[in-house]
Amino acid sequence: MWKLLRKDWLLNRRRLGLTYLFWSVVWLGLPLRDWGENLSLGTWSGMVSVACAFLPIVANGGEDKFKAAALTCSLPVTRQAIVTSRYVGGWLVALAGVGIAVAAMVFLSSFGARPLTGSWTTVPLAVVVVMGIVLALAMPFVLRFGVVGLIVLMVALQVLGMVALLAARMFRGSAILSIESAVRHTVAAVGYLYQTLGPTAFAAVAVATVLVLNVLSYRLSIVIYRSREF
Amino acid sequence: MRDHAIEIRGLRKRYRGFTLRDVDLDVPRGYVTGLIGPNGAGKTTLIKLVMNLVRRDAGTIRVLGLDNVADEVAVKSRIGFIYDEPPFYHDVTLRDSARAIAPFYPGWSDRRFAELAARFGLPLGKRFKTLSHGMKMKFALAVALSHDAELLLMDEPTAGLDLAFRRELLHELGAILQDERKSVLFSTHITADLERIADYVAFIRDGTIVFSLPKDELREGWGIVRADRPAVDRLPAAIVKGRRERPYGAEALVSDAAAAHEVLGASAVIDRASLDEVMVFMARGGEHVEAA
Repeated sequence: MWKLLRKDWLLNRRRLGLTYLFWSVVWLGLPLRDWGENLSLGTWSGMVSVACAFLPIVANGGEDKFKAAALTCSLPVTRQAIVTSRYVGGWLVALAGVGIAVAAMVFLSSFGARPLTGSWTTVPLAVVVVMGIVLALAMPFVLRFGVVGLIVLMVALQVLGMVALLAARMFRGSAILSIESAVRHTVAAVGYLYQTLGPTAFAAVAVATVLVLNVLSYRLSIVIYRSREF
Repeated sequence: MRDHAIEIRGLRKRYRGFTLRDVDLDVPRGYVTGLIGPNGAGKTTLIKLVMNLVRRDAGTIRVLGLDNVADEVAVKSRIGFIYDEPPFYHDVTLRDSARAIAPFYPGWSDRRFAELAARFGLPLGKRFKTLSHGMKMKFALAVALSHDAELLLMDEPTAGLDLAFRRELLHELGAILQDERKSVLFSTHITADLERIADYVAFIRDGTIVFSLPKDELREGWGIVRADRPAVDRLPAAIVKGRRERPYGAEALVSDAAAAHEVLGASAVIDRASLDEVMVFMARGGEHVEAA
């Protein structure tokens, strides 16, 4: 697996470097936009975690672009090892992205900027949970259909969302509204769980959930990647 | 019993509109075997099946004595694989691409790679996308030969190359292979390439191996019979592999030129069959081909 990680690093480091540079500018620029005002820490950490979850997918885009998956699969490694390296590498790349975002914030703070409001204590948990869920959901899809496939899926989901909103406006009281209600109930349930369990137990449950999701995602990805033909 | 680098038995792979069916093929160890056939005959599918890049529906493939799926890692560490379009990262230098691949192969030699790069004139500091197609193939060949692969699998390595570059690539390949007696399975639809370097020829058509023979046997035993139609009709069906009607009579591809001579005597002209002629006659199932 380490050979695969090294290979991916050597082949993707330029693309990854440019991506990190781009995100550094974004993280530095984002609070500056609200300089003097207060940007919510929750909003900031949400943006960081979602953006960083997609970093490994962007960084590995070269494999699709150059049809290099066939080269990887012709190397003396198992498909399972390839999938394992994608998950481990994905987490490393995403966490490095979070590190860059935090560094940007510390850098700004050193100049006296205090752009974020809220408590830092829940940020690491929120970032890991959101990132973990996005990675777990996206990875099997990327391994099957590539980055382009993921983009198509996201666009399709956006369109579907717009259609659902439109339909909800047109047919008030119909079943479509129950989607919104289900989301509200889920958020309320998470809030209730937090209140009931307390911060420590809630964090443990959240991390365990992310872990289970990633293990299931990893298992599914192995099955998918083993059946893929090049 | 001859030692085989690849042994394929009862191999089957079905796609929509195409089936590779019940393929049996032996690739002798230490020789170059050319896999020829028209476009879409199944050459690339067969090679990808050997590399386990596509999954077989039935049959067995043994590579260097090992099952190509159960012993995938061991098998692939002993194979050098060259695609018709080498799938290296375009924006990465040749040096970095080689550095990324090298650790996977226990037999990789940096010295060997440097020698081959110098021999092929490869600009290691340049990005892959800046190379011509011919240089890309040379890079792929250098990588495949740098880990002391016992078996080279090459899928249409000369496709898209101009004549001069094709000859140069084949010359380099031939020289290296002559020294080292590696086993090679080499797919192409360019018969002239096989005339130059192949020891064995396997012909595939519509997903079926039609024949697999030593090239010398093909060259010396097979022939093109030119005679009037009644004479060609007298040829034993077992040796007639293809036939086409001509305005002045008929031509037949026969697998035993001596037997044809015995039957027809001086009433027919019998020439040796080139691989090109064999391919033309057999490409359409040995059926009658339109008169030229």
